[in-house]
Amino acid sequence: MSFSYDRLGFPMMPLPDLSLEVHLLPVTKIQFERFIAEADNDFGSNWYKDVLALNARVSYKHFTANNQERLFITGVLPEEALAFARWLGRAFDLPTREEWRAIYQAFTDIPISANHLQLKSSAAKPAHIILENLLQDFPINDRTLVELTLMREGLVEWASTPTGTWVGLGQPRSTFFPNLLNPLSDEFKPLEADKRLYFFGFRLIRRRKKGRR
Amino acid sequence: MPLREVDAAFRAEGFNRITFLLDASTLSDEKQEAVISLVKEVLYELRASVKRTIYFLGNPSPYSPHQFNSHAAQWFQENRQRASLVTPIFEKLAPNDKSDLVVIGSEKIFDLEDWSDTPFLSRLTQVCLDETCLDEPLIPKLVRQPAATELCQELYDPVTRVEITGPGFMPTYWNQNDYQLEIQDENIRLIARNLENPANYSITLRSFILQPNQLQATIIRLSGDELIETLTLFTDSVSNHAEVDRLSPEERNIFRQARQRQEFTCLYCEERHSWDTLRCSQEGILGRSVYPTLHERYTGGFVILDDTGREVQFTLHPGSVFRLDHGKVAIKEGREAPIYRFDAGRECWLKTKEVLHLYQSLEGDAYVIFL
Repeated sequence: MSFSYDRLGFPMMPLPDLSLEVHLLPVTKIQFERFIAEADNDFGSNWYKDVLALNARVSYKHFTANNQERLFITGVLPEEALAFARWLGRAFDLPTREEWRAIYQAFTDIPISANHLQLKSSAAKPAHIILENLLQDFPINDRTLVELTLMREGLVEWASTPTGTWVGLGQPRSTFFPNLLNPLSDEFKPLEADKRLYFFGFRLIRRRKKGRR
Repeated sequence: MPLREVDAAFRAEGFNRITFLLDASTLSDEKQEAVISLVKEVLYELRASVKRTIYFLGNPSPYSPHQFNSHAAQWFQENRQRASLVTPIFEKLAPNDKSDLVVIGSEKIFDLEDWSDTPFLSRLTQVCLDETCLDEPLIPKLVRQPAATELCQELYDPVTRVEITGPGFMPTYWNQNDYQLEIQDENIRLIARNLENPANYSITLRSFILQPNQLQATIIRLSGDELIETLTLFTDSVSNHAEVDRLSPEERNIFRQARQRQEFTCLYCEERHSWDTLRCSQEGILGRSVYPTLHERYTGGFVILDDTGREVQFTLHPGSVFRLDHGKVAIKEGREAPIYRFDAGRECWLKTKEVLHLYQSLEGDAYVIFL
């Protein structure tokens, strides 16, 4: 199984049985910064400063196992994540709750192999460095993609429900966000729709037309 | 450690250039006016020899400094929604860009840490227009509330010297005549000083070296600040691509007589000269080469003469060092060219008692001379 890549050079994992590709990791700050650097959106320094106040930035070159959650863009609202998805390209979207859980289960069944550790040389340099650093001190024996991709012990991630509301799914490390969530049965519903939460991040999917592999 | 031969280059892109990085994203109208006013004055007062470029943080497109006075307000408006990010700009600049970078108007650059181990940050100055600016440890130089004249003085720090050296360094070819070989004890360097055109600090060379990754250029500025940079290595050979030319039939005869250590008749004074005469002293104050064709083209260094039987071809080898063999060179020192050999035990070049002979034989029917 080989990765595909978004236009910023970050890896996506194809899951043919689900007819989609999903970002290998939650969207990082460095990816989102490419988006906010563009002039024709409503994001700018003041917006970003507020977001970083919730979960400070760490350089992809210098993060450690203790602060790896700071690599990822968190505190964004679903509409803001969708704006990033539209900017990244057609067919990018936030997953539905059911898609997120199906991806989680699929990753739980896939043991980590050498293929999962190799990005193509033209992938973005930060993507290479992040994956290399994450794999340091990461025992890959008996581990599955659900751990490597940080769907487990990562963030709470935005997903949509059939009624059009937004929920959070995930099981962060308790050092980042104390919780007893089981993402396959529990969901986190923010009390206020416009409140930024430091532990909320997201990853994008790209749906494929049925029948195409 | 074996002595290696490598081809390498040093590029002087951005020397004596100032790149202004303006932050339009967080400024109040009042602060924006202050930034515009300062930049206008600085652009006016900077020495003409200093080149300038303007960027806005978050935006990879450069703006023309010549239009700043008339377009500044519009440009700030265009870039108000950008973010305080340097990555889009640093990725646009050439990897070897050596311009001085000046950030004006920014409170906090979000992605500075991603560039902390690059030369970009070592040349970064932050200009604060009020007391609210926090000291950013990653930025080496902070200037608070400067007057334009003061900032110009701060920024005017041209490169005055570039020195290239490394362990076991001995250049055998270089394409920039402004660089001179200097030997001090066992330390061998190529040095260029006080060049009017900063682009002339760029050089492509071939050299002997023990550790190619330690072939380095030290860039020295007027202030005495030094920056060390490793040269870019090439896989393809960059050695002398000089055109092959040929002696006239009369000169060919002189060459062949000289090689046989026979007297020859000078084409200038028509007198007989001994075989080892390379300059006719009756012509001009310094004399002229007994090979008129060579005299017209010679720019210094060595000349390789190759007798093919039908003709005598020559190739100019500029530079004061001539490669004789692996670990063996001749270096032109006045009227002599003593031979240096690499001493593997001491890992340095040592001057021998041998000298390069006139018309010293090389491979085949090739011979080397220097005028």
